[in-house]
Amino acid sequence: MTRISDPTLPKAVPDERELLARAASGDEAAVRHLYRAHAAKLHRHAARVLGPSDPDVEDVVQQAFLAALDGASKFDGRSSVQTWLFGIVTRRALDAARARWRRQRFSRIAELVGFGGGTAPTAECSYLAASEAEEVLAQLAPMQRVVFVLHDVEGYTFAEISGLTDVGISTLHGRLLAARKRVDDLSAVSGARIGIRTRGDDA
Amino acid sequence: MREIINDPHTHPQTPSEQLAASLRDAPLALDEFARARMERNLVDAWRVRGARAVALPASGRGPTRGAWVLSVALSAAAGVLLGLAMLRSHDRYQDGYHEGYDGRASNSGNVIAHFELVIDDGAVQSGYLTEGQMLESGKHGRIEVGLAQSRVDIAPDSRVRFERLAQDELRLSLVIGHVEVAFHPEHKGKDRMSVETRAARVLVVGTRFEVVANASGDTTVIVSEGVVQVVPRSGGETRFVRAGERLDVPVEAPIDRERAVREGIKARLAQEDADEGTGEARGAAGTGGDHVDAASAEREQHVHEASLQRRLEAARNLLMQGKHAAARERLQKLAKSALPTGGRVEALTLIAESYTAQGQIPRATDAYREAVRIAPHHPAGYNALFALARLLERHSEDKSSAGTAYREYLARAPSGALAPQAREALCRLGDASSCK
Repeated sequence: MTRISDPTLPKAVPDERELLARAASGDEAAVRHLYRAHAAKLHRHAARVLGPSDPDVEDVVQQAFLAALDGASKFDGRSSVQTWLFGIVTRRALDAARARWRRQRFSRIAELVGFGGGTAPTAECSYLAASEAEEVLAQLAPMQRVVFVLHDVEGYTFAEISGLTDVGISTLHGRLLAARKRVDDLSAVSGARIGIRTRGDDA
Repeated sequence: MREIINDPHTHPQTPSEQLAASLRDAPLALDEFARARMERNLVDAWRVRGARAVALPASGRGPTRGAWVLSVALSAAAGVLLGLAMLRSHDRYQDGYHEGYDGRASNSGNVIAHFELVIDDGAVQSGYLTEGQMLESGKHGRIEVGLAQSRVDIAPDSRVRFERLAQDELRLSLVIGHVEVAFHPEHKGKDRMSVETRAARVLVVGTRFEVVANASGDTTVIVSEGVVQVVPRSGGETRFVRAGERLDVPVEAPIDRERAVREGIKARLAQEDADEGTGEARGAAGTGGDHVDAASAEREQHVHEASLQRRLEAARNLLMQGKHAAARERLQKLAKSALPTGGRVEALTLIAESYTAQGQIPRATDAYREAVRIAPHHPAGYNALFALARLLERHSEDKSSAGTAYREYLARAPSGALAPQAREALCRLGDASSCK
């Protein structure tokens, strides 16, 4: 059963780098501490890239943590542990989102030329949004979505995002501008302001 | 409808700014329940992996021709390398031995351990082991591990961790499955090898033997050459098993012992309570010759908790292997036992998760309801109630029952860790009063 508090966990917050090293060396309490400190934010980030209801979200976060524990020796301490973890989650989520985007390319084209079904023509089919804001986010291509979320929402600089995604700064800049323009265009078409109203609110 | 929440410092104007502000202000979506489940899975996965576990290919089919040719080439190369490495290892060992004899250095360097995962008699994966590494053979695989002085054959469906790979000490942990070991040390009495399971430690001085451990940890030792020493973890008598003999070491033994200790403590506490009625201070009862002091009670509690966790973990392992019926059977026993409430609720929750995974929603619902019934005023019961509500919301046509369960959760744990999610869910289900 879920444990809200665990007395076996260390009381004080240790140095994050030391915590990572301890976790990687098999210290279960350190693994739990590290996970509890970062899981929620990483989960939200993965959910924004993949869609909040996507079953791969949990797997991406899980695999990212395992990869981080496996590769803890590669953490050089130039960024915070959270930024480093964000990078791992971003790359893994992006891979998953791109693969899906590619798979759905044919159906999107088919719908655009009138051969598709009755679904929304541009939104990513697998991206089940829980709010209006997420619905708009779903209209963006994966890389646009990542840059928009990391830069405009999470507040990372282009240099940091470049480090996280291995994409050049000028390319990132272009993607961000494209993402913002797409959001503005979508809003102009629908004439609506963007809020965080959830789907169930109308019920 | 919830109004747009703008960042008061930036006052977003354009739609993209509004979107960013909305997303920035959105609450974290990971509820405590899912977080705890993911955390448990992570810890289990990390514990099992140890370091880069060998994964079996997804299907049970044999290797392709290309993979077979490649594997033969790799195996040949690995064999040459292993041979060279073993020769060098032998030289180093001799040097180290003499150094140790001179008292200048110990010979504790690591041995080279080469493994091959074999499916249908074709090597499909090979490599070298490091200390702490876990090997998992999978359903159709068989792993052969060659070490300087021994050979370990790991049968299908087995997990073995190589805890120690030193020149003078080899130590394996058999988590589950079957291993066959041939150990022929050059320096008998000096080189040690051991295989550990949950139930026993098998110490070897030079022999051929097999160790089998089932999911519960019950262990069987079969010796075909020489002699092995078996030390039961329950603290029982050490036994020597000789060629042609076999010894079963059940893991239940320590549980029985724990039960006896627990019952003894309960009886003693009951006696103390009776003494209190006559004016005796409870603390004074701790001065008797055969008293159970706080430390031993704590120790007993710790042992008990460890035993419970071990049994739950065994059931979880079965679930991870897809053996739902077997796992549920064990969990039902735990749920009906005299365990502490938290343990019983956890067992029922796992049963519910198992049924949910198999699409048997009514049975999952029943399991959650039972968990709530036995722990109405326990945090574990509150969480089960939330899980029930979530299940009903997602899988039941009758959304009102989900709403009822969420409301019940809020009534019992208004400040609970899942309360914000419960309110959000009620809002989502149309209860306007729950919307901020």
